Amino acid sequence: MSMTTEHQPPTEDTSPAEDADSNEDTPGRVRVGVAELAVATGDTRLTTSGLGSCVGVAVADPPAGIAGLAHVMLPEPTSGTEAKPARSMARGVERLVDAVEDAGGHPDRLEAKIAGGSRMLDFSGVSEGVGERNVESAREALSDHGVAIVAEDVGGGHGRSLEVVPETWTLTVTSAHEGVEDL
Amino acid sequence: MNVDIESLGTFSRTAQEGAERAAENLTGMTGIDASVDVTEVTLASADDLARADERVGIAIDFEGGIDGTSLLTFSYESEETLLDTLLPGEGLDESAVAEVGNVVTSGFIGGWADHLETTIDITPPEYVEGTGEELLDSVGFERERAFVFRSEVSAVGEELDVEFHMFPDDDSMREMLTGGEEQIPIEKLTTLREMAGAGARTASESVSAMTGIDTGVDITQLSFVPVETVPGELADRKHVGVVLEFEGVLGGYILILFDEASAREVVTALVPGTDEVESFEGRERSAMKEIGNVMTSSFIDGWANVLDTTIDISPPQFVHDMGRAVAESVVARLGQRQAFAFLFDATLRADDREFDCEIYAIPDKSGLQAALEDLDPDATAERTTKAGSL
Repeated sequence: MSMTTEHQPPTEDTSPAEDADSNEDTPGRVRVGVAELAVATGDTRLTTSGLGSCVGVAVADPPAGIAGLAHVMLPEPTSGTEAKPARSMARGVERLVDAVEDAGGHPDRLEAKIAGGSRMLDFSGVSEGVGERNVESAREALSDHGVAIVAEDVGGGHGRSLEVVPETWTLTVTSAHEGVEDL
Repeated sequence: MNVDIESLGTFSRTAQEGAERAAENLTGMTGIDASVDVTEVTLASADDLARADERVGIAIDFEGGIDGTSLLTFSYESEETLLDTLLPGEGLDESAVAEVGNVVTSGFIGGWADHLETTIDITPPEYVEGTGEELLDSVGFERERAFVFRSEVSAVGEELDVEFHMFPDDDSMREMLTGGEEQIPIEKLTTLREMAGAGARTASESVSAMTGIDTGVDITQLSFVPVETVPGELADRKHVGVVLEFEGVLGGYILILFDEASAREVVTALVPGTDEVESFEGRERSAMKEIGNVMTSSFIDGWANVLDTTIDISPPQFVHDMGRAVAESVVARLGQRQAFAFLFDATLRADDREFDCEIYAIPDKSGLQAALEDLDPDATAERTTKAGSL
């Protein structure tokens, strides 16, 4: 068997999200890694785990049941190529908003919910306050796109895991010590 | 052989793309939402790869733009998960697993074919089974081989644990990694791994001496990874431990993280009169910081010796939180300055009980490169201590 530069999937080409949608028994789940983003519709859940000083930005068109989630790592872009779509905030939010619109989200109906940006470690130095700066830059980037933040759970000194359900536009925040909260 | 660090970074990313495609293929075949936890290029040592647990898998050789051999393995539980979704006929389990293995491996190798803009031929899959050592033997693993690309794939809510190892031939690696600006002789990287291994053993001895729990180093590994993939190395469950920053010629971070049950054992041993640890406040927290401090200085002393320099260590920051969130808070700091990191990790275990402690050291890249330039490859970690004050 031979691999060429032509990408030939072994089966019908289905992305994980689409594939999950087709399964009606259990809602699908799309895991969003650090510096990544994804969009889903209906009851397909978007999850991301282990948010420390990073910020999870969820953007949705609630009536359409379309939502996207980005796990953004840095407030400012760094030099060099950024292989991951949501490594830094301004570009990450731009790509997230584009992705939600590409999936059918209407620009005028978009809303955002954000969570994360904690300060778990208290070291001095230039990298200090990256969580706080991540939250600030999320506000700026969303505002630049005219997307209002309708709920948030930011700051503190603890980690969070997130789950977004597009059809109900729920952002569930689970913390190691603070329990579970729906935004 | 000299290693160009930038190329190593590029190939680490290629491996990541291959892994994502492999996970997509697995999802396409089984309907399980599989995703990639970790992809790293590690400086392989047979000891680290030859794990004791038994797994099943598929060995496939590849040849073309890059030559070598690959091993895709599953735990027995994962094999059952896969067979549940595939429903093969009676007696066809092996061929069903081989078919999945073939398709998933094609994903990995396809990522490389794309990146190298070439064709890579793969052999038919061979079903293999056994301990890490037996699996390595079955693919004809050459002990002196330098680099291994390793990925882990799993799924939320399913028993699925897939590990992929790609062992490129030395000639292929030499071709890919020479040239470029930032050349490091591979012997120096080997020295680095060895001194970190020695540091982990010293740290383990400190734990044993302080707590009476007989611990040893189970796995040590030196890898080169995109910084954003570091949190994926950790489980999402809660960990207890410390994070320390080290500074000097060589700067960076150390994370020492116990699972909760092991943390309780350690604290019970350290704090007189403690029967059961309810929370990690007060004396319990101080005890955790103290052992973290001692383990870190045990670990770092060896580095300071080999690099013939002073390394200062910050006071320990106590953490009791999701492992990934802790790691992510560190890489968000590191990621502002560098895209890739050398990651050293070691796992400490005890023979007579469940015990899990992980040590991660992430030196900052520019400091490490400068330190490596001055490094004498014959240096060892066994000299007298020159580490800085605690």
